[in-house]
Amino acid sequence: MGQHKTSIHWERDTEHFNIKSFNRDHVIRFENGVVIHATSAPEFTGNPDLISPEDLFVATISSCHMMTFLAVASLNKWLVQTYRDQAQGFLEENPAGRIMMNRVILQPQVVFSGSNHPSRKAQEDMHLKARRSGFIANSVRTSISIQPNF
Amino acid sequence: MSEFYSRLEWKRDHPDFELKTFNRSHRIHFPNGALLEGSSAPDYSGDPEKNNPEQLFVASLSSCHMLTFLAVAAIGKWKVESYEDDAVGYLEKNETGKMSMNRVVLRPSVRFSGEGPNQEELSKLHEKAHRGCFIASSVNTEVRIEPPSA
Repeated sequence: MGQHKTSIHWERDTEHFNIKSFNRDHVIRFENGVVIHATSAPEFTGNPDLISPEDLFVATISSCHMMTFLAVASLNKWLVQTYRDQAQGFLEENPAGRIMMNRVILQPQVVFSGSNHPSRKAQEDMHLKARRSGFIANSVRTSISIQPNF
Repeated sequence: MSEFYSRLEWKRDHPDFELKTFNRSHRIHFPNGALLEGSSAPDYSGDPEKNNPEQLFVASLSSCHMLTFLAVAAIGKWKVESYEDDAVGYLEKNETGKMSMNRVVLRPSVRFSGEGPNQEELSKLHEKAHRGCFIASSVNTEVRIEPPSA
């Protein structure tokens, strides 16, 4: 239904190609011309100033959840003013002993305008609905916990 | 094992909040100061100049596979000169009828210094990288690796 393309490029810039020291920095290009300078996580010899695949993974879950939530809220005629989220991802061993992004916690804080605001229960229901229909949430094995800040 | 954080902010910039027209643009911040301009995919009323979650998802997989491949190659004493990947992800209904990033195809093109691995050895390096990749282990997407020369 939709195709999404990326191109990445890495080039060795160290003389040797040693596991401990080879450069992790690489470039990710998108069709719209946007460029992301990426690397591995600092724990895995990456450059702490750049973005890692784990960062992108947490960001994509947070971003997709937000946009699905906004669509759900809009359909329900609630007027959202702002939406913020502090997302946290945990790279851990799963029960099978494989390291993966085992858990992600989203902490959305939604501000509504207008005279009528949804109750906590109504907000939780909208998050649940967004969680169930989020394209990225549907694509991951990660356990996603939504802990709204009211 | 390790934790990753992202922070996201969205603010309504139209007076109304209609499903078709509300602004999808938002900002994603990382603790190191890196910033991504996010939106939804153009098919879902997003800004094509910004990064949508589907693209970030493909980028995360492609980047993680590459970094794991490079580590596997370094351990195997193959000296990699450069690595490029033109990856594509397909947003489709999965087997349960839910929209998801159902398939991602990676097309890595790797250049080695000196004598590189043969086709079979190269496939094994990619298989090993796939099994060890933290992001691949976190998704239910079908990830296919199709080196251009294969």
